[in-house]
Amino acid sequence: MLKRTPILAVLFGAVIAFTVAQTFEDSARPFSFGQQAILFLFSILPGMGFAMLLDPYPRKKKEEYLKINFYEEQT
Amino acid sequence: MQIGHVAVACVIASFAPELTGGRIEAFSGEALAVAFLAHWLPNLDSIPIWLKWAKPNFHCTWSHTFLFAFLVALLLAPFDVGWALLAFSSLLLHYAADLPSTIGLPLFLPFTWKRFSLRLWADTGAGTWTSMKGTYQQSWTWILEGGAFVVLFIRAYQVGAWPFA
Repeated sequence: MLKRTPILAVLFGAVIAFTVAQTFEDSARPFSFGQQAILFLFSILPGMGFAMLLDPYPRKKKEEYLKINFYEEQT
Repeated sequence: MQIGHVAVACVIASFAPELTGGRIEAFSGEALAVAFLAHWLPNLDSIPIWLKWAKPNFHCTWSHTFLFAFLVALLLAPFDVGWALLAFSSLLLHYAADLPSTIGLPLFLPFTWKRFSLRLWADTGAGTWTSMKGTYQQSWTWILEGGAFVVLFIRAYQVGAWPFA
């Protein structure tokens, strides 16, 4: 995995968290600091996926796994 | 999908009143129990494989069909219509969550063995460390499973469940 991938994951996560907060937060019921932290941590997960799309390593792994049959009978 | 099933089952439990016509409350113990049990039911096809009662390719076949979802709902309906509706929804969302895998789901068994797949990530088997590791070496699993956790956060906020209670 490239060194930039986890850094990009955090950046993408911040964008996702900001977008979610802007879209769903009710001004009468704002997120607390702890709730914002949970949202940010959860948002890093899809952020990691988007960062991995820009990384050649996960693509190679997918190609490798496509060549394996995981359901062959063990002899 | 692996860990993401936890988030998807919780999201289903959050929609319990809408899915059951108000029979079951959102995030109630009943909603969580029915949603989780139904959501994991299809993956119990690994048990006969571990016990050597079935071949490894039995995984993701009969338990991942519309017929199976319909039969489970039919069995639950006499006990509680709410349970049947929630279980049926939970099973359908399990299939939707598994569709991106290249294993493909024979949704219309016994009428056809044609497998349906979105082919977003390569299947890496079931119930082993290799399958878990392989799943998270691919980008789309993070996007969709992580997305499910973000949706769960939004639903908890909208319903006023923990940590928003």
